[in-house]
Amino acid sequence: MFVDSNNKNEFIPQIIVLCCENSAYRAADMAATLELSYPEIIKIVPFPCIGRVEERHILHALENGADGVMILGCLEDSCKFLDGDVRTNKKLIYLKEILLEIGIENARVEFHHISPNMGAKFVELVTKMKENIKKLGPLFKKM
Amino acid sequence: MYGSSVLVIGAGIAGITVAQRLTENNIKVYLVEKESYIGGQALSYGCKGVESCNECSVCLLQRKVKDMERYFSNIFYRANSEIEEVKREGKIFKVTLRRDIPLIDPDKCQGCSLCEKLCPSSAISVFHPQSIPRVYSLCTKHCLNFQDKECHICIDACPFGAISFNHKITKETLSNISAIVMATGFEPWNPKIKVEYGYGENKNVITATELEKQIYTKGYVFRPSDDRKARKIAIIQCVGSRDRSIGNPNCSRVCCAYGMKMARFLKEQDSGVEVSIFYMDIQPFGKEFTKFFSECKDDYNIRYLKSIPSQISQTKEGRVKIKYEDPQRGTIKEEYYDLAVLSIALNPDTKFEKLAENLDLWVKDSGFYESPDSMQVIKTSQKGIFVAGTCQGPKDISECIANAENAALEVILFLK
Amino acid sequence: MPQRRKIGIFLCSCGNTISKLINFKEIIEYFKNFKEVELIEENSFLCKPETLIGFKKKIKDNDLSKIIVAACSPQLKGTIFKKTVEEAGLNFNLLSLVNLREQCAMVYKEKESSTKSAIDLIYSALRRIKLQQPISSKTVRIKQNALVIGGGLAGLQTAINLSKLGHPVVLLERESSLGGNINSTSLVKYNHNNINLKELVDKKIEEVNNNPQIEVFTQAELIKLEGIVGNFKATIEIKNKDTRRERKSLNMGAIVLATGCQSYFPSEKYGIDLSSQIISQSQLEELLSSKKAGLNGINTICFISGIIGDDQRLKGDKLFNQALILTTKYKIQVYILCKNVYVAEDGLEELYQQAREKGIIFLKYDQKKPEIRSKASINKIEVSLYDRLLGKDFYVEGKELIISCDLLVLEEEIIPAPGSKKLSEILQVGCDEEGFYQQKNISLQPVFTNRKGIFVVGACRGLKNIIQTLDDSGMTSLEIHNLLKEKLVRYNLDRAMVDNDKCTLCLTCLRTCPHKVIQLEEDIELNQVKIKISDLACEGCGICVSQCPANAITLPRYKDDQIMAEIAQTI
Repeated sequence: MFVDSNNKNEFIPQIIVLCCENSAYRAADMAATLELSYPEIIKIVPFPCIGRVEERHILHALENGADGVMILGCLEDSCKFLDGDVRTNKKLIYLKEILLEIGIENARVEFHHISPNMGAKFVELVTKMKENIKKLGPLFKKM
Repeated sequence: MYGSSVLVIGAGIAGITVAQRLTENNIKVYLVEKESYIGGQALSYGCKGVESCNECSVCLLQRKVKDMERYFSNIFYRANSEIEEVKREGKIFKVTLRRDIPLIDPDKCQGCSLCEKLCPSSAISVFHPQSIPRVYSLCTKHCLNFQDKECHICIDACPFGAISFNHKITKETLSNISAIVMATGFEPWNPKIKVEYGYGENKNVITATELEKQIYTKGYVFRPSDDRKARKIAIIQCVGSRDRSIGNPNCSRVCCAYGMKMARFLKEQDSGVEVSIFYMDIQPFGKEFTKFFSECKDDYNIRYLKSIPSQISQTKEGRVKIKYEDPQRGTIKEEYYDLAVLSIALNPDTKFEKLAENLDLWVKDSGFYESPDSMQVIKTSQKGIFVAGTCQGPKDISECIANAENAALEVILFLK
Repeated sequence: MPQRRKIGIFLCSCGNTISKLINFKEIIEYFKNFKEVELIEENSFLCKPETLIGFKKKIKDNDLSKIIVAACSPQLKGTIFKKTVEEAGLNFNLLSLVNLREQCAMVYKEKESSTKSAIDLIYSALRRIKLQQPISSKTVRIKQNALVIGGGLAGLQTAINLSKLGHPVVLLERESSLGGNINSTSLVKYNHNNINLKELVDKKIEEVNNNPQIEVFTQAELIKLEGIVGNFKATIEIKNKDTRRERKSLNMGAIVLATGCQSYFPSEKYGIDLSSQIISQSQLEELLSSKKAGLNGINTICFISGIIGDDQRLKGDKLFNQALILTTKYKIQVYILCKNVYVAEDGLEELYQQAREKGIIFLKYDQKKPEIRSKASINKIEVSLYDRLLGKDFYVEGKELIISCDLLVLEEEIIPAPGSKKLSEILQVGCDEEGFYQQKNISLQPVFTNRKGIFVVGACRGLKNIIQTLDDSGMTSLEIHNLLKEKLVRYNLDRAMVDNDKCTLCLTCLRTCPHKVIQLEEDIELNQVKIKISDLACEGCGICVSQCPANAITLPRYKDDQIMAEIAQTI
């Protein structure tokens, strides 16, 4: 868990962004060329298609320090492998139900569609999630 | 077998596609582009999808432009170059290129953006954040040095010595060209000619390209007069097309699709925005068109008006007044909008006519290329010269790709 | 004793673009004492050819077994680094690329944040690369021929192009002769440039028949397809002259769908049936081309377009041409009622102008559709529509314009050729909602399908323009040439692999693979069936991996342990 050296009490949410290489990863690259910036550190993990993402990856992230997981796939009807985004979205709907039963709020796991040149949207999504999770607090209260 | 080289004129979507395909087949390619970036006109378009894809095909171009990084080591790329002369000597063409090296040398510039940040008069910019290669250019209109004030902050700051205020022109002769592919593309028509719309004077009357720039810089659409968000937008189709009064009676084919997708994008981004499209006849496009069109009207509430405005003016407060004939009642109406977006006609590139003359190619009245074979429009009457892309006439991006690939096929078969 | 891992970390400062935003010293300090890190250093422009020579030398001199390159986005220079590492003798999967520029240095405002992020990213790459193993390659022999289904203009042109590129072609045509729609009178006889399409097609048929590289089977259909790109096994059925059916098995490298379209009169959408006075555009075409005096005594003809749909492509220029012939040759008064006039192709605007100059009256309607009434007493059809110029408040006053005509010509729908749906099931390629091939997905544009090695050309993908069809043929032939130009194809095994011992044969992977590369194969010796993933055609998306309930499938570059090692946070 990164500790903010200035203010040891301020909660900085750790967000992991699972990115499709064809869309979200490129959008993150584009955010840099547009000279946008994130308020706090995020971690981007690429996948060949967002359809490769499994529930266990998200659970592993939550168990290992992530306070929130953002999953980004291609726009509907534009997945290079046709239905990867739809499949993962479906998996997440079920996963989020189960997480809610064990007390993990829905806002901690989000799926969004993005296209490779939505640099601004990428930053907006990540920033909004940070804000939402800041209000919810850390996933595991004090290690 | 493939010892000689092919000259591709123009590095837009068609030129890039031909160059990549020929390189994959072990043919040496000289890719000549008059600007300093590759990607052509379509580079300034942005993705029109919000949650679902609207099939604007811009990603197809962007993918090819990104791929060019891989091909650059195998293609002889000449930026800022124009064809001065082509001479045929038997089976070979001898081509003279004229290179206008810009003040920021694209061969040396690495895109580090230091000059842009330090320039006191914001004279330095990159054409598009996604342009490849990422090179900056200096605008002499804003540069202090060209305004008789001394300033060489950028020259001093550049770690690569890429900037110089001395204009350099170099010439190069390519003497082993076996085939030429013309892919000079198109140019947007100048809407200032349509005086009734007041483009240029009315700040809130903009072209589609300017709207695109608003979207990728700010992420939303605004009125240039006061930077306020635009809530009521009018899109005017057929500006410069199907208009005998300005000398272009033909349809520009792709603007209806463009206007509809842009309107849908604006509504998907913010359903509170009002979008009206003024049109003459909607031209169909793509797959499942009837469904797409009815969704735009019924689900997205885009207002379609079968009427072309007679006059567009702007009030002091910046409101755009559009005068048009009500298609239902035949009465004259005046409506106020925040922004008027003009869907501009496509014209052939300015350099095309001179080149066509040099190469002895036929040109239509419209200025576009005319093929002796009206089915295989990539062919020409000259042996070894081929044509690809929109210099033949307006096409959308996937049509350009298929057309360019067909041209590449003809080149490969010709060289065999 | 296992060999000590020697990982080399190469940081690139990209001139000083990255280094002024990240504290490289801190990163080097952090990692240099890790026991598996043999070398960590900063370079100025790692991608430059001169620097790459030094890079290769350092790999060899230090006997490095795995490399991490932390530089700009892997999407930019990834291939260069991969190639260089292979030249230095290491497998490409022993290289990990960290995006230190676009996703680290450039996007954090403070040097402290970007340095922390850089350390996290490199540490994640370190954890991951320990689990990365070399990926070998495989060479397969493929067939270099292609099967073209459909003998119309699209199929003929594709067959000609492919044979010119050196590929033998088998051309299948369902009817007894080649030519497709242009052969018969029912579609596209004219073209606004007055090119005789039939002559064009006849020339191509002759070229195909005289070409020894193209084998033509008429009265033949594809009934079964197995295998993958490079090795398709197609079963065709040929109807012989004595109505016997013969089956043939063909081994093909690639397949092209060029089955075309047909026109269809949707009486259910119009609410009327065809009759002697209400005919379709195709029937008018037959009337015009036959020698019979079908148009005797006809003074007024009315065309209606736009009631059943907004897509007038492929019907638009036919409309102008038919109307012009009726006006000029037969001196009939023609009315054309339409919503929008289709002028988006070369020459159509001129035709539209010519039509109006010759006295054809165009009436545009908008929301309210024209009504059609039969006046049997006077043997005429009445069409009524609301015209705005006639009444200012016509919805209130109801000012109708009534056209009384002898013959009413209604527009048809262009739909895929009969049997398209069945063929799409045999080939396992997707269709859109109208039944044309290619799902509505931009990554399939222009000529691709969800299956590698199967392409679509022409009207059967919804295209409605002959120039585009010929362009499609050119592109498809080049794509096939690219796939099949070498007899032996070498590829990396970074594709999905199934562990048959774990597989429970639930067939989920088979059903979910978007590219249909997963099949059930019979193992005759063991007398059982097992799942086979054809790695040549696999696109490496990993969807099957994530869907398999038994975790029996792996993707070597994206294994679960590797992904989870990358995800886990730095402490």
